[in-house]
Amino acid sequence: MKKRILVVDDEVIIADDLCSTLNGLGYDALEPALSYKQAIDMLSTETVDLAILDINLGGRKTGMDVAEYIQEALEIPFIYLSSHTDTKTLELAKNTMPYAYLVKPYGASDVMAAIEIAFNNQKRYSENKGNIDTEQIPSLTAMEKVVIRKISENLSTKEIAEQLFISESTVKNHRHNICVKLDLAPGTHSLLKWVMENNQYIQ
Amino acid sequence: MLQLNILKKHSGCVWGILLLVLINFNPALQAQEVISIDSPQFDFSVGKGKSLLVFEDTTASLTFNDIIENPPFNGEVTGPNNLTGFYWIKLSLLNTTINDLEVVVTGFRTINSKLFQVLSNGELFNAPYGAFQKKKGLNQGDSRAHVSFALKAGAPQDVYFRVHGRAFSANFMDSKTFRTKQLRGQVQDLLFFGACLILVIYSLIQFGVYRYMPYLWLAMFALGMGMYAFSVQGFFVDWILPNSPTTALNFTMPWSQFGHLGMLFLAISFLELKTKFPLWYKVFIGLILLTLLRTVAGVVLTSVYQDYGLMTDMSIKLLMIDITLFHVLLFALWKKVERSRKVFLIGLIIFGATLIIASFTWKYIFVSKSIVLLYTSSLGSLVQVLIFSIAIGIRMRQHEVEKNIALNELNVVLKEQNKRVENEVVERTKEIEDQKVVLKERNERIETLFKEIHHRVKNNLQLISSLLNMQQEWSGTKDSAKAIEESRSRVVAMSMIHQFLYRTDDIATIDFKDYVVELVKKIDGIQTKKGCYELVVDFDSQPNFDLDTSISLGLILNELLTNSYKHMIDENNQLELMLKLHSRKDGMFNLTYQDNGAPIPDTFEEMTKKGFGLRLASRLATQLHGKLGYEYDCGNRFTIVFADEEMRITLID
Repeated sequence: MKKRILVVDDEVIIADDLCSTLNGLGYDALEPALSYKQAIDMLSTETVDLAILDINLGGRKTGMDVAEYIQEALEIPFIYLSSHTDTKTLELAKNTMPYAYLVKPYGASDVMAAIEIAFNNQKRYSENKGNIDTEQIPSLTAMEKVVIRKISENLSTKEIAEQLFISESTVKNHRHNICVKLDLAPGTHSLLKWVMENNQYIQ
Repeated sequence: MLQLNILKKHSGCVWGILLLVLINFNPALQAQEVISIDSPQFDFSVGKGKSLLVFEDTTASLTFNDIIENPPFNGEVTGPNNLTGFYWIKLSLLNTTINDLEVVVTGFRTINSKLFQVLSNGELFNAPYGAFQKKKGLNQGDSRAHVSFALKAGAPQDVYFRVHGRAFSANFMDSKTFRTKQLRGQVQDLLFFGACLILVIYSLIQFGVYRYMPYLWLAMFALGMGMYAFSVQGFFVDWILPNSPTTALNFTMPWSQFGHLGMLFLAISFLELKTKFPLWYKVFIGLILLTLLRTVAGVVLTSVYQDYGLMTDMSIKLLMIDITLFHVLLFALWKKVERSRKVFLIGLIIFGATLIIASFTWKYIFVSKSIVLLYTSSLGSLVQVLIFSIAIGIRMRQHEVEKNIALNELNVVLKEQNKRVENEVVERTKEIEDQKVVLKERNERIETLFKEIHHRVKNNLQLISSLLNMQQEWSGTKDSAKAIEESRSRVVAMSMIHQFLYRTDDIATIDFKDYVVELVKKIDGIQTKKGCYELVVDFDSQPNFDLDTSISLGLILNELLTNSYKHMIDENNQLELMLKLHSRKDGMFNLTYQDNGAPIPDTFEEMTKKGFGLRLASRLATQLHGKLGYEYDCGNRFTIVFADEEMRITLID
């Protein structure tokens, strides 16, 4: 049976082009979703085996929000296809645990390879996902999750700030908020300790 | 101990009478002289000398009758040697005037004594007097300091004194003279005590007004010194405790100690010893304790030993300590304090100075030691109170001056602060102005950059168009010609938008009407079969659309135009186009495109599925959150419903 793929992109021409490419590659490309709302509608009503998400969807919600929905509601793999390559976008994208990240302009063979690998990895990822104790990581925002991951990589506040192109005080703010949400005593070391203890969940 | 001087008015007469006396009296008494009074107004004093016969009664038990019967006076004229012993003194007076005289005797300093007289009718007259006499024991009209008796004219009269304690001295005068003197003394007292009272009241009032502690202590000092004088003069005894003179007299020194305490408190308070000179503070606390101690000791000892002189002597000696310390204080603090306190320090030593002077000179003054003490202490205290008042007054004025200086300084500081704030404001404003300039320049730079970008994009798209053209000319076929042509016109539609954005100052939106007119012109230029066309534009507003909307609309119009050129009724006909734009109340737009050509070959649905161009136009309309509609009415009429960027943002989330 042909795999059903949903393309989410706000540029209709590009989405159509990709759909025709996918059809040509042997997949069944559904009507592309041109916005977050349309994407959620499609995902909840149609059977979708894989989603290809553009990051910028023209509104406040981004492809990463779609990805979060997919993570929570569905068990399907998804791939990012975006023209953004800056570190901040990448780090935020990492939060959602994508199966691949393709950069525009893309080649048809790149897309095919990514899709096939994604389907292959689907099994392994879904096993790990069950171990994640989502109770332990309550409502942290996307940026906070990025910061936690960076802390687990042993980066200092200054280094984190440089990587993500934000100010040091913003990083400190995130750290503080994380400590409050996780009910830790404020200060560098308590957060670091927690991160070390819960390392497997973070990855 | 006895006073040496005898002041007599009528010395000549006395010498004459002496002979008479010598003739008329018992040889045993030949040593005594008779004092003659030959004028109704007389005033003389008697102390040691030939007119006195003295006998010391060591048994203290002889009565007047014993004395008369057995005059113990021997020829030797000796004087009383003991302060508290009993003496009998005999005087002989002769009234040589015509009338009887009333004689007043005063000027004693004695504890308690009696004057005796044998009257012509044989009766005994006595008149008690002395500091310790109870008031009720005195004769009518007498006081503790004076007695009166009658002296008949003619015969010589013996007068006896039984004296207890102290040296004997007596002033004899007629009653008129006495009253004059008394009056004068009373006026002096009134002035002095009046001044004291006024000073005390003044100090208390000042304290009430200014709440400045030194005034209270000044009042205490003035009161103490005033009451001391009051007590020494005997007024305290007479007015308050007339019938217990011993108790009342015990108050004398304590009053002066009270005043002294007042002075010590005043010094501590006014010189601010506690805070500024803590060492001296401790010294003065010691002095206070010493004063209290000697007061208590004095009162106890006096009531035990009944020696009132003892307390006075002891006090004076101990007072020397205080006075010495005051002098040391003066030198120690002189340089360290300001004017008002310098004045105060001078006041402190006045009393000591006067006392020292008095101690050295009292022997040369012809009054008793206690009177010297009284006058020095009284006058000295008055002067002190005045000087202290002046010092406090200077201090208060200085306080005002200091307050004014502080206020002025505060004003200056406030003014400086205001100036500084103003300067800061000016600086900040300048900074803001500078920043505004910088921002304006930056804005302009950004706008220039944007324009540059649109220019380059336009150039790049034109490049693509040229490449396509060249491709066609180089290796194109008849089939490829149409495809290339269609591609080129799409590129042109997009590149024109960037050109418009580059051309005008508005880098975000373009005037859609102008664009549409230019687009049709350009696309007409590209067509291989060129013809004439007529374009009617009917917009109900001046639309300015953003980049994304413009590109989509431009591409849609391009497809529609291409379609129109494809289905022209015949090649020689003019293409008549009409474009209508209507902005709806719900925020969407209606764009109507009408040509005069032949209808599309298939149904609209089929065309959007089969034909790439119309399909593209339809897809782009959905991207604009709208729809592409079709009907045929003397030509192909396409209706595009769409939302501009603003509207799309509200629809999308």
